Amino acid sequence: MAIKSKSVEKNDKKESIFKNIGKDFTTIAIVLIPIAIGINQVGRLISTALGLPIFLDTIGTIFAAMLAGPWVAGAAGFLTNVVTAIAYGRPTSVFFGLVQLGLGLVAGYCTYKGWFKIWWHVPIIGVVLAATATLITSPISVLVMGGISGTGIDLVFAFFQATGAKFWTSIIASRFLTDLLDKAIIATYLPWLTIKGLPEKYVKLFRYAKLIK
Amino acid sequence: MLTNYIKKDSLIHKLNPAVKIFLALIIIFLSFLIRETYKLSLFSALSFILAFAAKIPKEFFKTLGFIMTPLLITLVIFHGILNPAATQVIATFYFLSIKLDGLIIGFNYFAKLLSFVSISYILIFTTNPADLVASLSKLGLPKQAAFVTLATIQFIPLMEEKAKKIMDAQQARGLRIIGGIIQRIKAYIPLLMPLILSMLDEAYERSISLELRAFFSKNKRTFFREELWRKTDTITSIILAVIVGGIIIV
Repeated sequence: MAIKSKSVEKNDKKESIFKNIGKDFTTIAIVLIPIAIGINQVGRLISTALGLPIFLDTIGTIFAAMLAGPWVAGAAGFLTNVVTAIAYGRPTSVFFGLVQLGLGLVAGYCTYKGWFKIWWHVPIIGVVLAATATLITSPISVLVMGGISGTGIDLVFAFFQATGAKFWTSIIASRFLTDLLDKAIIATYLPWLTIKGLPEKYVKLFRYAKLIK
Repeated sequence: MLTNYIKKDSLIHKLNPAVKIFLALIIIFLSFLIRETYKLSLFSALSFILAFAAKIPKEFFKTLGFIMTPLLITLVIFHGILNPAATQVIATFYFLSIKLDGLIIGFNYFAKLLSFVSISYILIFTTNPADLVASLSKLGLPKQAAFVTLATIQFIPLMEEKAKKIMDAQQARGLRIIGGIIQRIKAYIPLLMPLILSMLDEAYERSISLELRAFFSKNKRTFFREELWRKTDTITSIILAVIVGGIIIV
């Protein structure tokens, strides 16, 4: 079948990650992007329905990174926020699309290197992802919004400010604390568990899934 | 379809989407370049006038107020009271002191946000997403990106519906979604997994149908939605260009 032969190629692990940009965008990878964006949105919906204190709106991006690599995941992540801006009427979220872009790239690179194969690597990569998110969010939130986010994170920020911490220290600390809960624990493990249990039928369709199995 | 588009018969609605996209991009870009609060306010004022011209003042100001009021409150509190760089104290309540230069910084950020949020709303409210994507792809947006954007807008309501069905089905089978935090996090997995797996099936089917319809064909594409460039488009874009240029110079 055409899709199969396009998706599964031998020895592509030795190629440079930058040579893969065009090849990564197979038909099924392109169709995966809307689904990843949907999972990001619905993940937040379910999280709200369950009354969890975290957003969980990066599961789809990390899922896409594990199946279709960094470039597809980066695109899916950035477009998530573009769609949030257009469809839900929150234009400021476009700037935070860079966070999702970064997360997709880092998670995809880890997949490409095969670091997700061993179970105890997963929490470590989760912490790296949380750090990535914090490093990108903090400057954006200062440049665009003057340091605030309009969500519960502001309260954590106010707490750090009240204890006498410096401006940047409190921003980075408050962000890292919430990101750690969100990304390191659930948003990395859940897609990983799904892909570990994925039927062989689907693994064949995606270039990167076999690097995790 | 998931959209904020409001169908009305007005000059702004009839305007070619390309004009609106360029106007929005220019104002968003300028919002982050310009530092003076009064110039930023003039940009917001331009968007307000456009909202009245588009006959959507009610929806426009309602949504704007809903989004911007919490931001205004947090910005004023954080910069007026908590910003450590501010020094000029104007009033003190117990241990909290409000600082004038902090307030000025807060209002400046607010003006910046207001100017680009309001012009984005003009674009979002007055342009049908399908027309928006069609004219973006005529301007050179790759067809993959165009497909992804439109497919997503159609997909999300579908997935939300599916997620609700799965939640009901799993609860009917005895899944407990109330209780302690660990219990609720555990409940997350049986809710999201079926959704992901059924969506992978859907992705496979869609990719087959895309390939069957020659999605990757290199031939020149035709468009179902044709947006013509009218004389009013030329006139309006000249007027808008003069206004934006005037605000920059003033």
